[in-house]
Amino acid sequence: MGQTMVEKILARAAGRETVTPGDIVTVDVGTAVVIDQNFMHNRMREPKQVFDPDKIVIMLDHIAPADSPMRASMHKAARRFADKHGITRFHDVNNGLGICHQLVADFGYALPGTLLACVDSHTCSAGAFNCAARGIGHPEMSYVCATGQTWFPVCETIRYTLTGTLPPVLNGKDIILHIGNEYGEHAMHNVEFIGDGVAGMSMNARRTLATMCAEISAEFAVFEADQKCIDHVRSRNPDAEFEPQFADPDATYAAERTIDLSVLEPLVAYPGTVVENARPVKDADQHHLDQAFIGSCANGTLDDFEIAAKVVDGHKIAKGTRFIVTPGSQAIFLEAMRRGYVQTLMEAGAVVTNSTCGACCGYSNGILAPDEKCVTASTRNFKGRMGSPEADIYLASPATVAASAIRGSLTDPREFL
Amino acid sequence: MRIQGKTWKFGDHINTDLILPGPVMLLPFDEQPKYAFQANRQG
Repeated sequence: MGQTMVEKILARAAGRETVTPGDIVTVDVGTAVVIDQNFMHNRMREPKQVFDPDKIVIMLDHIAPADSPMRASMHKAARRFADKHGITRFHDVNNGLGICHQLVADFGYALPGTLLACVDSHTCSAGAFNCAARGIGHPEMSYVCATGQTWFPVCETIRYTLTGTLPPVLNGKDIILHIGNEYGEHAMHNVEFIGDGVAGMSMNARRTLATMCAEISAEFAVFEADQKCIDHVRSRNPDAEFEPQFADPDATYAAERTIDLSVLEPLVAYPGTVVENARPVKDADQHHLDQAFIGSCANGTLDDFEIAAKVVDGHKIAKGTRFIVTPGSQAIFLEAMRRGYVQTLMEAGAVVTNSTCGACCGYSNGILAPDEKCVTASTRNFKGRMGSPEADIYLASPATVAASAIRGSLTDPREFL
Repeated sequence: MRIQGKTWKFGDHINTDLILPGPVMLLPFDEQPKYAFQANRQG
């Protein structure tokens, strides 16, 4: 019997010929991504020695630079851990700063056909590179650092064939809101993306979609590796060895669905969840928005800066609306400045912050007060996510957020492009 | 053994931010419990 992409990656990592849904497999972790959160409250139960320092990456991202003595101690512990165990791929505040999933993409740490683990729930982001990636618990990451292994249940897979061309104003965010609306949650299922529609998507757009699969509760979310994907990884990590995995022609799926990207329109998810909770932006309620945010591991890319700058070029942000933009990495920040995007955004009235998880998880750089409303191009719209539990979070694409920042209410970006 | 205390009954779709809001994770352990389920509990 044939296997899906995820099944083949799990089988390889488990040293087996095949795996079947229902199996529980012990797998070798190809890349272990350790973040600042691992060192919070001494969560990291430090092994005497790590399994392989060259397979571990450490990144300070959720609160970087530190904003309190406790967080500074967390960063200090990470630096000591890296130094003690000889981990050279260390992204510090002064060296390759960025949000972990953005850096995993930009440095080619996500290798096609391999398995990657991290404690963050949006680890599935690396699936854009044909890498089976998933969030695991903090104690489990300590175990991974010691042994290089973890375990997963093998779940059934749902395959999405993407066709057509995504209109330029749309984003991977609009695709996931469509999937969440049409098909609901995907708990205990993997998701795979193939098709001509994928070829027309940038690696950034693919990664936004892969990242957001956490919001439909998918186990693993994996794209087929095409030449664009392989070139991306090779150019950033030329010495890495990898072997992309493709689904067998006779693979078995729980469902096979086709989405024509060309007919999608800008969507916005209402507060609480992306599951069966989005509507076309043009039909959205016209509440006043206190804040508009673009950033996070899902939408802090150069593509996102570009579209936001195009939307706001020559306009001013609405009075009474704060517009905050956070780059996915320091390198993206620098390139966005070189290209003039940062200047355009700031001239319109935006605040552009340092690269960190920031407002997305309610840690810094844009916390919401009670009864405020925010439209955000980030990852999650759970109640209380960005600050007060009495605030409302609407989730949309960067173009929609930028257009809404200008009007001060939910606005279809096609009005400006 | 008898334990006395307050209970809350929740519906479906309990997410991680409802259980413990992200920023609360930054607080010392002994300050965290009072924020558990703060957005959807009954008092």
